[in-house]
Amino acid sequence: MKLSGDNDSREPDAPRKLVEELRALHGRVPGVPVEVDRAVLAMARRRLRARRRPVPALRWALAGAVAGAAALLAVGIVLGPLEGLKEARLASAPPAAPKLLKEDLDGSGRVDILDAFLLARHIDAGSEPEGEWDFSGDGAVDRRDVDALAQAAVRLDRGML
Amino acid sequence: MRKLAFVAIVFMLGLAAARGQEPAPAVRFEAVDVYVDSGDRPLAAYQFEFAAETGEVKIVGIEGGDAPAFKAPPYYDPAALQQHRVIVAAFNTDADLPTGRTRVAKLHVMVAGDAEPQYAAQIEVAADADGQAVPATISLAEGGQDE
Repeated sequence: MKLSGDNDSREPDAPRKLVEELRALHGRVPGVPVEVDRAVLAMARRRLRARRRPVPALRWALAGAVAGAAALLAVGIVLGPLEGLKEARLASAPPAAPKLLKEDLDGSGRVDILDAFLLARHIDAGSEPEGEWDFSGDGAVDRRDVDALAQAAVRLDRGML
Repeated sequence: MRKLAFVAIVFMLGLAAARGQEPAPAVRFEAVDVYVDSGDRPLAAYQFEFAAETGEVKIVGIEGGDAPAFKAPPYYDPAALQQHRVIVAAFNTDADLPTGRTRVAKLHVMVAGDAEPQYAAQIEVAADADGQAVPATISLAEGGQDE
């Protein structure tokens, strides 16, 4: 059933009087101004957009956290094996200090002629030599080791035998 | 005019020939005596570093000193020969040790050029018969030209 006054021959029309009384009962429906309609629409859109987007500060914090995690992962991947390699090299490198200490008989912290002098006195006195004083590597501690030690003391690149 | 040009060319050629015959840089050999003064303490061991600080100097030989305890050639790095720096050392375990100012070594050097070389020495070790450090000074004396 149609309440309008349009004529349609296939549908029965409401009685005109009823239509007029019903219209009078509700009065005229006031129209919504276009400006109000647009303002309401814009407000609704803003609210919907705000719900969808995260807070900017929170978004930056999230991005920073992700980037930091990626950087840590990359550093771990790249430097991890290098650190391991360095440790392996340190472990396999010949220790320099013990060799220096071995020749530094008087414990002065350096190899000089006094170390050879000490060894010579030791040999002259007939004291029991220590095996590690075999600097010439001939299996005996004798004058050759004194000479080897003295030569080490005067080397221009001062160091070990 | 042609004669003048010829004379000028001959003069220039003569000048060029004279410049090409400049004498080679002079090379001479000198000896430097090294003294260690240990005062009234007997000197049983010493070690010093010697260097030519200026001049074109090469060390060509090292021999011992005057005192019987240090007459034998001292220890030094053979690689120091033909260089301007050397570390020299010696010791003696005998009882007959020198005191006072003692010539412990003589260094032979080759000097090239006219620049007068400047030598320096620094004592690193001076010890008595017990291996105890003794206060000592080192000095150099240029022993003149070698034969």
